[in-house]
Amino acid sequence: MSKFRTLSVVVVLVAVLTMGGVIGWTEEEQPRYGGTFVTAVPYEEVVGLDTLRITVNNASTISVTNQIHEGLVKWNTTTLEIEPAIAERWEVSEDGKTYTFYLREGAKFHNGREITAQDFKYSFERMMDPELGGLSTYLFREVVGVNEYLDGTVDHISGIVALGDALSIILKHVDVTFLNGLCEPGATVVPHEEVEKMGLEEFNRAPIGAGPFKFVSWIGNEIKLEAFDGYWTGRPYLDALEIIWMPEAGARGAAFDAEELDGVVAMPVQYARWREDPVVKEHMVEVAELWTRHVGFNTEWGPFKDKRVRQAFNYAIDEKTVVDKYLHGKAYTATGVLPPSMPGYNPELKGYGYDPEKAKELLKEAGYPDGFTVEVKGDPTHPAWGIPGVEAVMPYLEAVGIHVKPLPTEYGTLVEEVVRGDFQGYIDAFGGISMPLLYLSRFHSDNIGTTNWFRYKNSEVDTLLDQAARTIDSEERIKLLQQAEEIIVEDALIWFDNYNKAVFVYQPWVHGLQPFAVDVNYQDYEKVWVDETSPRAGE
Amino acid sequence: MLTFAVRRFLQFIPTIIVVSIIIFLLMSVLPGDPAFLRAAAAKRGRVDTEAIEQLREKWGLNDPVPVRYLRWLGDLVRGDLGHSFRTGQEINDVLRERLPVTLRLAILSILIAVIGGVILGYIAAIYQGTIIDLSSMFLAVAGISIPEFWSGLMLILLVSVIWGLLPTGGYGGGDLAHMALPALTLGFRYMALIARITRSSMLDVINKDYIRTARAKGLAESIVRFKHIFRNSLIPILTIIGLESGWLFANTVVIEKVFTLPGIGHLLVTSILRRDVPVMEASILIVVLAFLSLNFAVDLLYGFLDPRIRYD
Amino acid sequence: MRRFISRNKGFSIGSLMVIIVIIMAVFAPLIAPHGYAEADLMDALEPPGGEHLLGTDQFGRDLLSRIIYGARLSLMIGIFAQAINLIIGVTLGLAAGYLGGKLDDAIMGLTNVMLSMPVLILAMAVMTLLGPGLVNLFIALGLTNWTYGCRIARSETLSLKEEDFVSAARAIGCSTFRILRRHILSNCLGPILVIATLGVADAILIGAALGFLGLGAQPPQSEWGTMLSHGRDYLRLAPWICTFPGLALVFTILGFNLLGDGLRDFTDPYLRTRK
Repeated sequence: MSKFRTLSVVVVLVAVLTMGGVIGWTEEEQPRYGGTFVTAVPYEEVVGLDTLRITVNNASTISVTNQIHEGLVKWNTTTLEIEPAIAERWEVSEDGKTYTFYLREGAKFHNGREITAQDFKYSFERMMDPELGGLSTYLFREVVGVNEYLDGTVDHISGIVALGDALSIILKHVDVTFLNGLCEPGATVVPHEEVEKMGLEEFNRAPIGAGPFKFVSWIGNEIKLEAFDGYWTGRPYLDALEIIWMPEAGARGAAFDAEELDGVVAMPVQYARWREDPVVKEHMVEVAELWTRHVGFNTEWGPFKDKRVRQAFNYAIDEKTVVDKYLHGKAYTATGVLPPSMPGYNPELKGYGYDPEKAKELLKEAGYPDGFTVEVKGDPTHPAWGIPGVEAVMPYLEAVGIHVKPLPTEYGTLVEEVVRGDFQGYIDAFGGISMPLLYLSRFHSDNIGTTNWFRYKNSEVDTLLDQAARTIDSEERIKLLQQAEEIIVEDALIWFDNYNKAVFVYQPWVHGLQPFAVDVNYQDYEKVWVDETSPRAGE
Repeated sequence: MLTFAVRRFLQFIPTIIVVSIIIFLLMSVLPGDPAFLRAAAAKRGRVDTEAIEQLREKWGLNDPVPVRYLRWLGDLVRGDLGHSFRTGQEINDVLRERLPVTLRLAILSILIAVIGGVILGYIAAIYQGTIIDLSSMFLAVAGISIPEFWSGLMLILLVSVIWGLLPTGGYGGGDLAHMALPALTLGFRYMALIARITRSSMLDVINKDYIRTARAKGLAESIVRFKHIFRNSLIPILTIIGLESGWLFANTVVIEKVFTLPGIGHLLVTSILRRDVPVMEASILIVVLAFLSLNFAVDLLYGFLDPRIRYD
Repeated sequence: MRRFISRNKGFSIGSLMVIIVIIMAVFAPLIAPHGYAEADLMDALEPPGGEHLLGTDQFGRDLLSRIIYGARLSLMIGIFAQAINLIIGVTLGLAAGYLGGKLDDAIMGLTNVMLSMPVLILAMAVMTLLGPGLVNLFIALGLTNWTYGCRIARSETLSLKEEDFVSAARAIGCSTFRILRRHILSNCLGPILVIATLGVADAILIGAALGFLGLGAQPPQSEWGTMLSHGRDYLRLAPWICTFPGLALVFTILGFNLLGDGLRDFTDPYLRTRK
């Protein structure tokens, strides 16, 4: 008996120790070096790996180029703050027009050469060179000397000055969004000798950058990258990173289920399934992405000229049911313009809620007791910000007398027509910008014809936005912006539908993924690692 | 033979030119400004109108349509299909990646269709009027009445989702696991068509006098069936194979969408949805060329098999 | 005639199927338990059985009702598109066959060009140009698939042209138009009817394929091909969304094909005697 007792004590002790050991090990889990991470990007086909000719809309492409290229500064993928990258620190002059960046020592290109301020001057001038067709020219349009450079009267932009390890950029006016723009892919650095040696086309296929991963190959839809030992924070944990373009959600889901992918974004239907899966539901990164899904109203068209009609549209729909039942919970109902993860998000805003009686009343007051018919244009396929998103709410609108005629329109054509003002309503999502000022600037009357699709003119909003653009102190700026947002919500320029809940599912062996609100596909993969249970731990 | 081939080939040239004009005209009147689509970052908040104008100029979009057509044709003759408006990639490179996918799918499906269809039709004709005949002919009518996009989805549902046997889609380097369902789906319809033609063509021959003569001579039944009946009914069968292979090639568009295969058809659909005009033109042209060359091949085969057709 | 019909099983089954589809289409509002656009999100993705016999789609719409209303769209696509095809094809075919010469060469040349482009691809191109929508779909399908009608009309005309009654009509000074209409067209109606019936099946199929590719009818219309394409995303979660509209499509196309085949046997004396 005593023998048995001793034995049980030993067994229990061993068990406790082992468990403790296991728990202890998980708690201080050390990042592990090695292994391959495979992921898939949806959206567009990768257009090219030189940042010269990509736009911020090329989300698949940026998922790759962000790994290969590096700029002066970058967004923190968790807090959205602007952080040093190749610039160790920076200073802004008293008048707010001159930015001086001090480059860190030892930051190198993939070819081993140290990066100098001259390289940035070369890269930015390359972007602005009219011969090369760069697509992020707006980033430097307000730099001193750009016009002369564009005319071809001078060979260099006088407002970009490289002095040793310091780079100064002089702006024509104060622009509080300038630094934010430098986090975009269009402001990354390239080694001139490689660009010249390879030529643009070759460099676009097999670039040399300064990011955490080096380019290895691009075959078909698959791009392979490997760790860059000389990266300025030290080499990434992963040995290799593979990014595959897979536009079809079904194919991505199947590949993830088959453990061929280490992580991937989920669509609403997949979210509904994976949320119920005992393993996968423990391994999801969820974030309110910086996208506001909405139906935009043309304030110059018939019934939508009246604010009460636009408000009625908002009251008519039960957004919560749409999110729960149609999007399977993969969204957050919108209460204003700025999503919750945006700096300056205003939790006080409550949105419109669901009140069909009030909607009918407002329509009656506005002179539409029998309702009206409205054409809504939209992308033909996307479940949340395309025509299906309209179909889902049509019965609600019908119930208060708003008869919707959906017009599926190819996205590019839609943008063109809406910018021209050739529409009554449209469904879309705007966003992808981490700066509240830029996010709200689409309500400024100066932007009618570009981003102010609603053709909204409100001098009060204009003044607040202009003031904010000149306010260097960010807290002050946010106060002004919140005032503007309140007016915008009151004026109901859009139906406030929802903010995307980006869901990135990953395999149990993956660690260090971040909830990046700009786009959850733009991970800082140098922070990601896989443990030895990965089938690709040794690859 | 050679002069016949050359003459038939020359007859294709005007057709190709007319087709290319039709395609180009259709595409040049499309709404939507490609330069705008490429450069507009409107979704994220910014539009750079100057960049758009630069692109229009660079791509020669400001030139009149005939000038653009001649330039396009000139490049085409030199083997340069231009570059994508949306991605900037050389279309030649894109096609080099996409073509093998579609070819593999088409060839596998044609093999399935021809082998399955001829065997099915052969058996049906031999056992004319029996239950075997009836059921194989029912299968054949069903085959031409079932849309590929639905049978494909049902196969995915059954084989991939419920049984979990094969992947639900994707190319996977073109291995059999990924290609089996698409090729079966695409091949089935043509198998049905070929079976029908094989059967009726063989039935036509079976009642001919020389078959009776052959049987009367005391030839073994298997020899009569194969050497006399089957060989003499080959021409209509070949016609339908040639014609329908062209249609089959066109229908890869639907199959590639169902099974998410990155082939020409997929390229065509996405380029249409994204208004990528040069890619649209190139991929339509490829499909039409494949279609025409299959017809051409059938013409040549005809001459080869039917001594009554002269080459002069 | 009656004996023929009872003997030709395919013909009888085919006509029965087509009649069922026509009844569904005509009396849709009476038969369907719900409206095609009527939806309640609270009922989204209900499986078949229960209150909704065939289940509901992602918007909570009754699938059975949408399939019944879908018969209207498919029949309209098939019939209108085929009508345009016939008008173009038969007119060109009669003209080419009867007038011959340069006109014949030109029309045959055009037919050859049309035949060198797959109908599906051409219809896709035309739809891209016109934009989605039901009327555009009729036009796209009507403009692209007339070659069969044209060839049949031409070859029939060529053989009828030499018949005595046509020469007689010509001799007594009948106008060309009258000869074409009274003597030639009325005598080749049989083969044209066969082509027309099979062509309806073709048009329905291609129309649905365009819908599946996202180039067809507009929401919330319940076109079967479009329903399949939207159901594709829900194949795992709600397979019924894909299954039932596809069955309806197969039923309709099969019906027209059987009917067309039966008519062919009926109009083709050679086949009739052989049976």
